[in-house]
Amino acid sequence: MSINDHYMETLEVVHTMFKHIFNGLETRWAKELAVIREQYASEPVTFTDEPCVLHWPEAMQILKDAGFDIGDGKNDLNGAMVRKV
Amino acid sequence: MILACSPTTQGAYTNLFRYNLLLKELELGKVVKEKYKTDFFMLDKYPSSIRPFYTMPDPEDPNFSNSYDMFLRGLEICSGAQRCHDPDLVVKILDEKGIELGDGLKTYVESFRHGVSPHAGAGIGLERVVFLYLGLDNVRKASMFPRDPNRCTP
Repeated sequence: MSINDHYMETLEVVHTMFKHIFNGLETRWAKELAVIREQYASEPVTFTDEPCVLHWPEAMQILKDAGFDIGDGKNDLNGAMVRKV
Repeated sequence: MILACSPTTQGAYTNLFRYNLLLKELELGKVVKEKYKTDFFMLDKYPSSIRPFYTMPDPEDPNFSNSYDMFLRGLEICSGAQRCHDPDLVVKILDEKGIELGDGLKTYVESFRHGVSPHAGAGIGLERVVFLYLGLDNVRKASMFPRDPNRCTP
């Protein structure tokens, strides 16, 4: 899609779409979901009204705090593996 | 268990690779769920070094980019980015990444000289959305005709 002012517009469009899908599933397809959940138990997903956006450095800090080796923080999420091999 | 599935070293390596990625994604999802009470979040500003040349760099720090992945219950369901619409900038990035501007890429870059709006988008893995939404135990159950390296028919 074309951007008017900022690419965050795209994240907002996608977020609105997913909200619509999640809400629609639970309301319009409640009967079908109930049937599936008899065999595969699941809770409706939780989501925020506004997009919940984490930035890369924030995510790296979370992983570092959890004890993962993130290297210089500029590799993909599997960067530690690349270096080990 | 994941390793045992693979008959080759290459496959084992790939699986180990994926397993590590999976652990990090799940951990991130867990923390975000606790902190922000959401199963659905977006991770923005991936490092430019791990994104393709056509991704728009962050105007404030070109080491990062205007690109994002989206996660549902801790696993990726969607990936996207703002594309670089400035032909001169694309050429510069290609040069930095050491990619040659061949005939194919030249056409791609030149097309922007006709005028193009700044644009962005995202690709959704719909089967993954269904698989994770419903908490299924295998993504193949979210597809009528799953395709994978070991299954071509029906």
